[in-house]
Amino acid sequence: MISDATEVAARVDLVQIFIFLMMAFWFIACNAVLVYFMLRYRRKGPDDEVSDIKGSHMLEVVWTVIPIILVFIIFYVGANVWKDLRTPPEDAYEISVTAQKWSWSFKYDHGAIKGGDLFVPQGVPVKLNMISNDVIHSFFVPEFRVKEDVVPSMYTNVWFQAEHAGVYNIFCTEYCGKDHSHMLGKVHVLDPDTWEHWVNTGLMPGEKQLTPVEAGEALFVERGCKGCHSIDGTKLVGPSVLDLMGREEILEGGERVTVDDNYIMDSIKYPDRQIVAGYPKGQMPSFDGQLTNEDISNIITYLKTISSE
Amino acid sequence: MSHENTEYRPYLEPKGFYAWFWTVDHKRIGLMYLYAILFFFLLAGLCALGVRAELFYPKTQFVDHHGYNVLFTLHGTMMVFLFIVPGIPATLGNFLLPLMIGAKDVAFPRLNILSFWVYLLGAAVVVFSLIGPPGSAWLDTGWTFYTPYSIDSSTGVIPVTLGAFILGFASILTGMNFIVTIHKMRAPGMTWHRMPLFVWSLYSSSLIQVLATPVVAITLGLLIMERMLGIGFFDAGLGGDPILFENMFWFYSHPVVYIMILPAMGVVAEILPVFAKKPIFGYRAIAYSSLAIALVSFFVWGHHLFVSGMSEWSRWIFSLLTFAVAIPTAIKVFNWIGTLYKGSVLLDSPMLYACGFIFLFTIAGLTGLPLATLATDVHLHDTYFVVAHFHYTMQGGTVVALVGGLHFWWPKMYGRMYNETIAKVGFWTLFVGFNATFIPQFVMGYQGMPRRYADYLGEFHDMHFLSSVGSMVNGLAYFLIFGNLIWAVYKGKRAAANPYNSLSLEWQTPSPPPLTNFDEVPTVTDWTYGYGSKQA
Repeated sequence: MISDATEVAARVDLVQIFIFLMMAFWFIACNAVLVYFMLRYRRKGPDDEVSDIKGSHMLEVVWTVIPIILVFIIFYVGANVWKDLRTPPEDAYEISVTAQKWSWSFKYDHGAIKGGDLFVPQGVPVKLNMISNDVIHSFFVPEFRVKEDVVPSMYTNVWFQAEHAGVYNIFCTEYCGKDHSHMLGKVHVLDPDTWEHWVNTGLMPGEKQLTPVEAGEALFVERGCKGCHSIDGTKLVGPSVLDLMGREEILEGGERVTVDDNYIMDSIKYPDRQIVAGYPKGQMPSFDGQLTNEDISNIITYLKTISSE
Repeated sequence: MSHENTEYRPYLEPKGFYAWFWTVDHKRIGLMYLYAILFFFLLAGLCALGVRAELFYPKTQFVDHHGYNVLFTLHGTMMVFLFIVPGIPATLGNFLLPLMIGAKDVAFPRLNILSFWVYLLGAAVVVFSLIGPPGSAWLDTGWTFYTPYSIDSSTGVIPVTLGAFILGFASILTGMNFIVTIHKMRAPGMTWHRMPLFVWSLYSSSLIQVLATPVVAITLGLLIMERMLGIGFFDAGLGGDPILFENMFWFYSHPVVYIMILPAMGVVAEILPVFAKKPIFGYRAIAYSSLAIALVSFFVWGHHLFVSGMSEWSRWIFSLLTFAVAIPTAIKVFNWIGTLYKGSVLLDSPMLYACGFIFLFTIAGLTGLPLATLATDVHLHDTYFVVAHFHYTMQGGTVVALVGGLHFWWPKMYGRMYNETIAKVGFWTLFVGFNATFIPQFVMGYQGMPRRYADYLGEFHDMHFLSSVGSMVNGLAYFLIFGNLIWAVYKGKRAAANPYNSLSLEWQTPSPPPLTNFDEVPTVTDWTYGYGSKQA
């Protein structure tokens, strides 16, 4: 029950166990007495002898003072560990995080931008500087015991130092709309050699370079495109991408446009510029700066393959 | 001038829509409020069962993600604003407060019926803004309406806040009425320290209603100014700060939590002494702790923002302040349990509910500790642990007390007894179903399952499945319980004026009471809880 994923997480769990024990004690103490009284003094008849006790000053003082002392202790140990949970070391490795409906985007100092999953080195303190492009999200890694909202108005941060190589869940924990429950990801904690390999190549060991179509499909899923744009013609929040290329669309305001590479790029970067009639404005976040030109070209290549023939 | 009961006419007469809808009688208003809030309790409860049914298995069963989000939004909004906030004060409070202090009615009977009409208007506005104009998507923001999602995703946030604002007026009218009534309308001899504890709890929650509710109006004003005049308050695009909305929302909604629970605590404090045949233990400690909770409730809203990006110092201070609520709450629990000591405990259904309340409420209170603690809350925040925690306070606490109170006072309200066996079966079904629903939620919340998820990872399936099974039992229990109560209204055995030998004033008048409550203004010579051997 004690997480060994980070050193601070283990200490958070010790606080939690301390509180759980205290909860268990008071729960059992109160209810044991309650049930005992219920049964011991059960009514036997209308003439039961009952006491006339109206209270006890002594007891009132005792059961006021003891809880006060206990909650101070809980507050104190909790605040102490929390201080370490919230204070990143000066030399932490920093990663920029952007959240938008319904995907995570991570930007590393060697220039790589990756969606969906986060890659971090093992044994190194990592600080995430987070901001949202649209609504409030929240970055949560249960095993690390860290969570912080990601808001559009300012930067927030979390930090952790993962002790072991492994894979951990990322959840969005602030409700952000339709696919909130699919705004997931993984933290990949990489040992030093793997980390270096990943930084140099962008690939995990044994992972092959994806073809443009495969890379485009992966992006289409991990950036959350699929949540609103179906590949089977179903109308979701946005238009389906089935048979998209060369399709003639009527835009809001009556203008007609034939979908080509430039229209798709424009829609990815500035989604509100050319809205297809009948679809709501302001639903899709801009991916300008979130995707490299190569990413966008991969997505376009993938979209060209989605046809009903 | 005869004071014989020959002229006795129960308040339930005359019947007819006009005679009820235009009444100014507090008892009739209490009953109409009861029917209205139970209607929304039914709707909101069915939405909850829809949510749980969808979560039996991962992936989509019968509603898509948007549909799921709409269901929990409807559930939360209707439960909070239309059911549990008016809850006990507007129903049992309206019915009992004047009876308990020996008054003919509340201080402002016309404001009282106005409160009910305003409530109906507010309820209609809320429901219609949740549904929206024909053809538009139903509101899916959750009951917290956090900006910017609520503003970006729909136009519903202003109308729904308007609805909450109108409902707020209903709350304020009731709250003001109760405060003035308690100050000015007490019968001769009914001093502050002779008043029933239910009255003390109504007084405390009325203070919160009157002081916290205006913040809804301010929030509404800011939302409208932002929309109409483009002044940035909450919208980051205009230079505003969405966290300000969270602060304003919880500055109202956290004290509201105590509007919900304080009267429930009052109900329990009424049932315990009667069924233990003993004076309440620590009367003044219980009475003053209600006021203490009301006071502290205004200074703890920040614990909803522990991971919001709020400054670290604010988090530290709000954690400390939040722990302060634990103290008066603990004092109450200890005193309730102390009341049973050396008593003569009759475990009839109202008493089962009262004791069940204490049991469930200890879980509710104690699970608040790791949520008030900074280090542990970071992990538990916005997970199912929180969902389970507040359902233990709201359903395990407030609803259990409301249902217990309805059983206790049903013979007074309708002059009829329900079937005691079915009432007991109903209690145990509720008790088992409720715990089966929410204990698994504590477990999966601790394991990291976030709330408001339409779909979930396979590792959480066992707990979700158990919780969903429990919820069906939980839901079934209410049909049993309310079926029994409704049956009693028509077919139940006639109840005596005072079937429990209570000393409280509401039992010293016929069941159901006459329109004027008492034939003569009662004179009070002793406190309400003079049970015990001397009086026996």
